[in-house]
Amino acid sequence: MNKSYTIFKVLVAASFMLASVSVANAQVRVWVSGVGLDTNPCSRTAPCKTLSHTVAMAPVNSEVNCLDPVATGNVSITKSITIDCHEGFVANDSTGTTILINFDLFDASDARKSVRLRNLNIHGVTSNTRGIRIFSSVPVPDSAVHIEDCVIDGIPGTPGSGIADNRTGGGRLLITNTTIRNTSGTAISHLPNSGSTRVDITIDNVRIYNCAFGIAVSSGARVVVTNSVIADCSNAGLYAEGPIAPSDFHANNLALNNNATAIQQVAGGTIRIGNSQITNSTANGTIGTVFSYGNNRVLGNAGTTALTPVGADSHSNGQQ
Amino acid sequence: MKNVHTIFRALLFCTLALAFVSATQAQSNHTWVTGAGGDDGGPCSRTSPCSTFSGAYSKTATNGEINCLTPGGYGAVTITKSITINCHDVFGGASHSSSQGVLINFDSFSGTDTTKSVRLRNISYQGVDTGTRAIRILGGANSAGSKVSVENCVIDGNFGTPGRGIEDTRSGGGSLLVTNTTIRNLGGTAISHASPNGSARIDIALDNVRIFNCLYGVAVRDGGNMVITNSVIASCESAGLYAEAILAASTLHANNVALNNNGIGIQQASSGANIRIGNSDITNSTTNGTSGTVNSYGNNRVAGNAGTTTLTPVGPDSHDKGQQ
Repeated sequence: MNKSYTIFKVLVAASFMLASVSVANAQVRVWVSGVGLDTNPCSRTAPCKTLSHTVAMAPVNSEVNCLDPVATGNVSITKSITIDCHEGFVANDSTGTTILINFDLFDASDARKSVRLRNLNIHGVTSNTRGIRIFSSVPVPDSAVHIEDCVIDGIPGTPGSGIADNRTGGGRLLITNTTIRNTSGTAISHLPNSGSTRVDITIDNVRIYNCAFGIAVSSGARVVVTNSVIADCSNAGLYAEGPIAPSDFHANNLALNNNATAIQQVAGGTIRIGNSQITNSTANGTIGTVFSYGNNRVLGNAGTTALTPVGADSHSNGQQ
Repeated sequence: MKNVHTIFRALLFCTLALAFVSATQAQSNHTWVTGAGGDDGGPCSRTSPCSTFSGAYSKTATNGEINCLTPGGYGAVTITKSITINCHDVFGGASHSSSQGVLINFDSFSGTDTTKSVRLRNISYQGVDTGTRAIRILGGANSAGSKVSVENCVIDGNFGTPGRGIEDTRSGGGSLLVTNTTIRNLGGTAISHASPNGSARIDIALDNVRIFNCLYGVAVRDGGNMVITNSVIASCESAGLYAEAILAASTLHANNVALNNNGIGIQQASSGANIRIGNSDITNSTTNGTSGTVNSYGNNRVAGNAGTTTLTPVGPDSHDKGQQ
């Protein structure tokens, strides 16, 4: 009797353990808190402390949420995941790249290859090199990175990028409602490590202040920027080149103010702009060939501003 | 005997009084949820909050409001009365893997609920890759005059069937407002209006909506009158904007919309669907810029699309007046 009771107890204990493991595995939302512990299970009532540990604990396709302000070190992302710190505050005080998304290390079973970063405040302080870096050396044409409602400030190192997309294998990048300021290099940079696989970039409602370049794209980029402001960049607000393959830059309703050059086109880049402001450039309004829809407002620029009509005269229809 | 009767009456009175108190507690105008220490067995008051939306829902009076005290994952809920769920300034998440996040069924609204209004604000719906719909709106004849507002929400990860963000299948009419909302990563349509068995007018206003990675971005059908402004729809495999008319006409009016990298930028699927677009960008479509008849105010920017892009002027040439 005693023996069978002991076996029973062991079985009960084992069932509880299995149940507990299963709950951990099924967790679709994990939690981080500035006063949590990394020895915790990252649950709502026992949150973890660092973003990097919490991300490591989170299953593929799950969501990391911040309970309160979090001071964190750098994070490496190697699976599809959401980090959303709504009304939380994530401060990064370390060197190097704050958030590295490396698609080379994503598991083959991770079909979505989708990373969503939302409501993060990345503060580089003294020697950060990049706020968010997106990397691949293998083909990842369906990979997608979403950056929403973020603030990136103070990236003084080299190359000093706010967001750097260095994917060789293609993919998509979507940036909305985000402010990037005080970067020593390019606020939003597309520059593949090699090759020219197409990367589709959509940028809406982004404010960029005080940088070397505002938005710069290279071989294989297809970028559309709308409803945004780029000001006080010491080289150029918009920049497109295509040393290996063409890049395409389409802009609508932008304010380009007080940059050295507002828009710079280099060989291989195609730029079209409509319904935008090009004002107070300190060197030139434009460099290279910049196509215009004929409804931009240009004023107060030093040097040269030359806009080439996209096509013949056109008229609105049926408007009153 | 008389004593017994008196005692019985006293007991009956006490029972009724207790029932009344209990009913009053159960239906507050303002209820609260918390992610830590909440208890759905409590009154969902500010000092005794509940732990889930569905727990708080049953304690909230018609036209009342549920608020979030702290960040939390508050689960799915079915709505059958006028109500607001608002998690302003804290994180209110609803995970709904393999199911829907919110079901709003106007057929089950009480006859005395004349407002027929549901407001969802500041909520993050996470389908965890397998969700079927984040917000589902149902209703037959009782949906006439019904109103749904979705504000400041995020919807993600619905690759279950049908894989929709917001699905409106009301056949009896009503209105839908979606503002400041991001919908991404869906196997189906991000915002879908399609009634399977009716064509009563549904007025739909979408403003400042960002849609990424879906099959269709915004789709409207019989009786749908949709206006979409100041929005972005990108990387949708079939079409960014889609309108069709099987039982009755539909209209889709768009202004300042960026349609980028979709299969088709704008698709008119049948002749009774009237699409008009102005001051918008149709770029980098991978199949066609447009399909069917798409009417244009003549001030759209079109570039980099594969296949065909044909825009039909809405009317004669027009000019700005009095601008300098």
